[in-house]
Amino acid sequence: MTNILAVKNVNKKYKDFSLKDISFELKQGYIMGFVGPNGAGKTTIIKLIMNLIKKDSGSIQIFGKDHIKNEKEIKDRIGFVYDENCFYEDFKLHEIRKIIAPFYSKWNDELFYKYIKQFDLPLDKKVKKLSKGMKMKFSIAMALSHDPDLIIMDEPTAGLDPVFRAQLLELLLELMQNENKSIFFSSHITSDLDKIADYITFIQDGEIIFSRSKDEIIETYAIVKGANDLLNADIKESFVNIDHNSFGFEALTVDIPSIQKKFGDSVIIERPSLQDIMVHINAARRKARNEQKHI
Amino acid sequence: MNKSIFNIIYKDLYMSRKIWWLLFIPSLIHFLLFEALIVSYTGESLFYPYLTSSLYVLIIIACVQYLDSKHNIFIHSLKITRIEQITAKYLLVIIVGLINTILVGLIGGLLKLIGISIMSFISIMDLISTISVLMCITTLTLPVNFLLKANWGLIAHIWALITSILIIFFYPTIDDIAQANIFYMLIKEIKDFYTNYLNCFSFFMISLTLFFISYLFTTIFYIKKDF
Amino acid sequence: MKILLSNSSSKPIYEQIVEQIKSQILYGELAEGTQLPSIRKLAQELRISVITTKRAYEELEKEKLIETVAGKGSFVASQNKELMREKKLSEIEKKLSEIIRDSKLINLTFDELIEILKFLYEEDMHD
Repeated sequence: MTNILAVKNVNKKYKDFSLKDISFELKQGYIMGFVGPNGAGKTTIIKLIMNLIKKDSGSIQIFGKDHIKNEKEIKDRIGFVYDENCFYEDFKLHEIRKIIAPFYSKWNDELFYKYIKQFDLPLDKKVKKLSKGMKMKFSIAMALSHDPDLIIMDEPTAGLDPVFRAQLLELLLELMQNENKSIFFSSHITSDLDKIADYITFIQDGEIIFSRSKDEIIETYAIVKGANDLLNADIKESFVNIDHNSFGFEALTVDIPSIQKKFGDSVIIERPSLQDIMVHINAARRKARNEQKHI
Repeated sequence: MNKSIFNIIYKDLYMSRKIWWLLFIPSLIHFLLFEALIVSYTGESLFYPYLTSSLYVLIIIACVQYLDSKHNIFIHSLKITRIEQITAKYLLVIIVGLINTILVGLIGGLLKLIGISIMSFISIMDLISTISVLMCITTLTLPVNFLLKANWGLIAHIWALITSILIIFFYPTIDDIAQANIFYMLIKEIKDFYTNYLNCFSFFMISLTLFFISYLFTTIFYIKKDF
Repeated sequence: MKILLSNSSSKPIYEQIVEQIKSQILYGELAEGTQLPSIRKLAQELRISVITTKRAYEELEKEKLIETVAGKGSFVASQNKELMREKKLSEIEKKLSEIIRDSKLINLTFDELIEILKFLYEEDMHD
């Protein structure tokens, strides 16, 4: 099983933010969701992968080749969707097609017009006249029209209506019927990732917290709900994070068997959503950092 | 020149195709007026027409580079390298300069044929001098476009153009203006070279060298840039 | 082939798939040799990860319920008829034990139970 994307020990330092030792891999034929709070470094990493930003150290390999030495060959096979519209604002859609198509060896006009029709895009309008959703749809159409093997997207569904989001997910799943394609996308909308991601990489404060298969994550973590009086110092050890209110607590655990043993039926143990996991891990780190500050 | 560089140049020409027509007519009027003025004062015809219309052309290049710099992420996510982007822009200066100068020269020749003899048909010295001046100007402005702010480069080109327009009104007292305006100083110096083949050629070689150094300099730093 | 997944069930999704396909095979609803959808097709239709469907098929293959032929797909394996019969027999025994327990609760006699069984069996024959 080949790695279509392999990021290894990548570091990038800015004045007030740094990416530390970023490593993760995506195997061919799978979808990886990239999640994390705002400012965690998702866009920075995507830009690093696309060589829009220079890394301080580490290696990035795409299709098994170095992403800088073989930049053109690699970019020919990547469909890239950025979260802000990046096309020339004053040009019409058909003009943009004319500008971009010659750059790609596998550009397919048939595919392009198929997507334009499917997304109902007006070829004769200037980019700046399109709504945000339509700009995104156009970006997606352009990215997919040269039959890319790897699709990299930065927040593709943000700002899109739920109907189109569902359509986009359908579209991606249809693309994945071809086991040679792979998708890497960052998103805040964890419910989308819940549905289609095979792997999840979670980043926070410039560090990778985990990069595992979604099934594994959902099976290892659990949400535990119970009465406040059940909590004592010993029990707190088994939890990643605990939230209380006056009616009870809700906590995240990675140790389901021991919770079951200790509490049995006196607590509710539920399958977590990705959002639950993210929120709790985020809260745990916040609290740990605040504690460090006070020391 | 590989396919990518060709694609970039084609893209730049395609994107600026509407401005070409907008600029061509004023530039034609401008140099016809100016040439008429100079010939009537001095009795000699200079290469100013080529120069001034080339300045309009530089505006096109600055606009295109300005547009590109506002969409860096888009440009550099395409299947091109940074070196190709820079090479294409530097080549564009020469290509567009050549096309423009020859076009203007042909028009001058045609005008002469039908009896409106206000400028000489294009000569090799006209061509070489114009390209030299273009290279001199862009030696400074292209690195600014790529490495600093693209709108400064655009502004510099617009300033050069306005200077050449204002010259029409101030020609009689041009020597005073020379002290105040760097572009006019440059033009005045070139004027002296113009009549001497050796000087013309040396100026060309110097410009070419500076142009090439500028290209290398821009390349080295642009490769390291973060978008 | 019928698969209904429950998000609220505590069972992992791959297990739900395995169980549902297994029971359909054992009850004969999925005939021997029937081709199953590819793991990707199944993932797409059920809107789940392809890793999940892959795992489910691997489980089913381990239990010798399906066979995967490279390049062709996955098919319902020929079931060991005796094994199936034995499995069904043990399920019947389990259900009968329950029925016997229930009948004792309302003091049904053995003969009354046999009557009911006979009646229902014959009724079933006419359907």
